[in-house]
Amino acid sequence: MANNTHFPAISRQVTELVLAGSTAHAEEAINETAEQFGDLAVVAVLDTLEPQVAAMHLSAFDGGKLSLATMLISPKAWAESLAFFAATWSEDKLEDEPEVLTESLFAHIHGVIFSTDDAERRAALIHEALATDWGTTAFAVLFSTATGEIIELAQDIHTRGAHSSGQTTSDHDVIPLALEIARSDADAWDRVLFEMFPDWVPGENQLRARSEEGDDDEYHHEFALARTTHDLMLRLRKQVPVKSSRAPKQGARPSLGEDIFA
Amino acid sequence: MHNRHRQHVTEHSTMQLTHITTRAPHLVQALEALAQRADNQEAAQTLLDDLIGINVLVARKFTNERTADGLLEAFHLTVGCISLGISQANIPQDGDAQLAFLLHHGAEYVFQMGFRHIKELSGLPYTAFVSDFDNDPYIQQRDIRLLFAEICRADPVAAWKGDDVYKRELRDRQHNRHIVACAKWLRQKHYAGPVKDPDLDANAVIAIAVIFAIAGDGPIVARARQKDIETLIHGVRATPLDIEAGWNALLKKAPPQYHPILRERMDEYRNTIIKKILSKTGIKTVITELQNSYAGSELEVDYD
Repeated sequence: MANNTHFPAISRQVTELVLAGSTAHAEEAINETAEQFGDLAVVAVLDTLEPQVAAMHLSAFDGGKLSLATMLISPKAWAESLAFFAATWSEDKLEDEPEVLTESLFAHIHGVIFSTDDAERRAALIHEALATDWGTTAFAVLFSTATGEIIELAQDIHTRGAHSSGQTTSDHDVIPLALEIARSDADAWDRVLFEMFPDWVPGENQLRARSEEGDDDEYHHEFALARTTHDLMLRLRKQVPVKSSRAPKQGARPSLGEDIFA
Repeated sequence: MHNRHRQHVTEHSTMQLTHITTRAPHLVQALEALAQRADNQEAAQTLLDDLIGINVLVARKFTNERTADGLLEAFHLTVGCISLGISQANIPQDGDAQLAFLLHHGAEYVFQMGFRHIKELSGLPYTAFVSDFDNDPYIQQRDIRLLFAEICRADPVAAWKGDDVYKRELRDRQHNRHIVACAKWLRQKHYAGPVKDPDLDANAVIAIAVIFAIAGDGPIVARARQKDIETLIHGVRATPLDIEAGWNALLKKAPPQYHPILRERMDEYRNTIIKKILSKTGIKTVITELQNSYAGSELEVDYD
């Protein structure tokens, strides 16, 4: 951390490159920063990026492509950036090809969490992400693609504890991620389950996947029904922050606001 | 700099060339002029802030400010509405003048001008048919929305013709308003007292008045029953008369601003429906044609 004064400039440069659509060049700038000033400098730069810019940059990388940014971003900054992940989800895509969106969300989250062997960093990433509403919803979206398996795992964890569980009948991709959460942060695990099963009262009703026949109402009180992936995706998209914090400039004419339609 | 005033040349034949000039939205032209200016940072930043703010307001009101789709759609509407505001201002249509206008008034006020043009347009009749629905605030809002989306959608990297669409639409609607005013005047002068009906088929009213005027210098007829038509046909077939004299009498009564409309109808009918009325065509046939093509809902059908 030789010279802190460079960071705002680098951060601005990275922001401009990302907004211009050139993630490759932005990544290059990040690499140069790492070489010149060390990894901690990269962490500092990533921390100063606007979360939506960070989200844009990170979303260009997933499990398939390695990025210094995905490996070095601070858990807090990553959690903030997750809020913007669904910003580009269009109505059409949500209806026509939701699996493409869940797949990219999975690749991103899985990629960031498992890009490191450092158990402490993994735990911190999970903790920070699941300390936010949108992060919780994002994980619930992933798990809702395998509701049956998650229920099985949840019951297993409930009876045997997180550390001796994990033998499910399926080898669905999300199971390792779910186990990682349950083992590192029990509260976070519960929060995701509550997000998936909003009517769940532990000890009173059973978790249940929504059946396709539509007989859901009959078991209304006995079971806590899972939200569908589609519902959860919509919930996630609704949480994308809307920012209109324009600081009015000195001497600028006052804004008309809604009167532009008058 | 990239020149957006491209000329597309389409070859129709070896002899004939057609030129189609396309132009970018006016806002884009103004911004391109800004890019040419020295020391443009501050103006650019102010404009950018204003445009972002307008974009969000448009998204909130008309599309959806929480999705990328909604924001993009609102972005196109913002570009178009500001361009419409610039296009209708009385300024030279070049980038510098447009930029000066935009900077002088500020993007928000120019947007407001554009939006007021849309509202004004939407207040004019879409057809020469007036109905109770026209006063429904919900319908009015919907019409503004539709016009806004139709005229003001401008993709900054593509050609935009919204200003032409606006001008054409304005001309058509002003014409409709004129026809409606003429029909309202005729109704007011109806021989049996003013016709009071919230629904008005202006073209039909004018048709009836013009057709009944052939009988000579009589009272104005703005609405008729089938019997009246039959009487008229029998009457004019029995005694030969001077149609032009009857029409001149009508024109003499009507305010001069309605003369072009009435004359146009007279020219149109002289060799069509009037011929049929005067010839030996079956009365039923004539009445059917009158109902279908001329008098429409202003002709009351008798069933007895």
